[in-house]
Amino acid sequence: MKNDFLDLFRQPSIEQPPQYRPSPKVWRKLERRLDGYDRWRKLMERNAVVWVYLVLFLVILVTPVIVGLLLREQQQVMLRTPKAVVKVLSEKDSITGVRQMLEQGAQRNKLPQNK
Amino acid sequence: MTEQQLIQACQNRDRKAQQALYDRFSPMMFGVCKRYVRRLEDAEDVLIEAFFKVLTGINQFKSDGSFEGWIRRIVVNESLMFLRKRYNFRNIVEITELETPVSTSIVQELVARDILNLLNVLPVGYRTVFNLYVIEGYKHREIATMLNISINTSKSQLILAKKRLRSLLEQCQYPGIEYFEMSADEEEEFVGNEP
Repeated sequence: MKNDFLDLFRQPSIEQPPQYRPSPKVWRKLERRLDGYDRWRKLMERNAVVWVYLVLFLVILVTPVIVGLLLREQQQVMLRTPKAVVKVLSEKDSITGVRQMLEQGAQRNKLPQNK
Repeated sequence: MTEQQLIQACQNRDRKAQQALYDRFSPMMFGVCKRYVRRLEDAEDVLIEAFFKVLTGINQFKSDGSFEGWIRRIVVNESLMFLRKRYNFRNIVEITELETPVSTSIVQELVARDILNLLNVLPVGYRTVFNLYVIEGYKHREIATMLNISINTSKSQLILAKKRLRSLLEQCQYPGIEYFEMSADEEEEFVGNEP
């Protein structure tokens, strides 16, 4: 049985005939490119670290300023707002409505005790 | 050093391991480049570019497949990129369908181990389609996408490449050629749909 003539081109030995070995300068060129790439990569890594430190520095520097400003603004707002007068109501108060409210409250408090 | 150890060392950017990997695979991959790119200097440039991608992208290699196959795909892609920069496959199709004269001296110098040199005699369109289909095992649909040509163009280029190679082999009276089937079955392949 005859083989397909294309099998001649599929032989693995055909792919690396001795005269096709790349010259030594190919590796030297490749090595130079790899050196360049490694330098660039290290530089990028260093830059990334620098950026991280810069951002951290800015955060550390800016955060207290922002917090201080916010606190100051809050204080100013509080100063501008009139103080609320809190009055504790007592049974001696003469206002009729208030007296009734207090009496009702007292009754409600007593109810559970009767049960 | 096993292949796995070599890969691991290359992932750690060990230059000696990178050189060992290059030494191990470069002869075969140079053969692959030479099948696509005719000039020696160009093939070396393609090889450098391909191995640069292999060594800098080695972390992307998934160890479930063949490492050699992974490198080979990169080398083939790099060769195609080189060819696409130089030739427009859409345009060269018409030109390469014309018969290009073959120097008899090339044919006379042929010996058994130089059979692959026959491919260098082929026009770039024939050679590229032939390599992708016969050697790499791509389908015509895939080749058409890779080279930005139609499926039928890919098929016709393959037929013409086979015809040319067959006539070259007959001319050079390659030893033992009588044991190989030389009859054409391309017509069916061309007219039929994508296998």
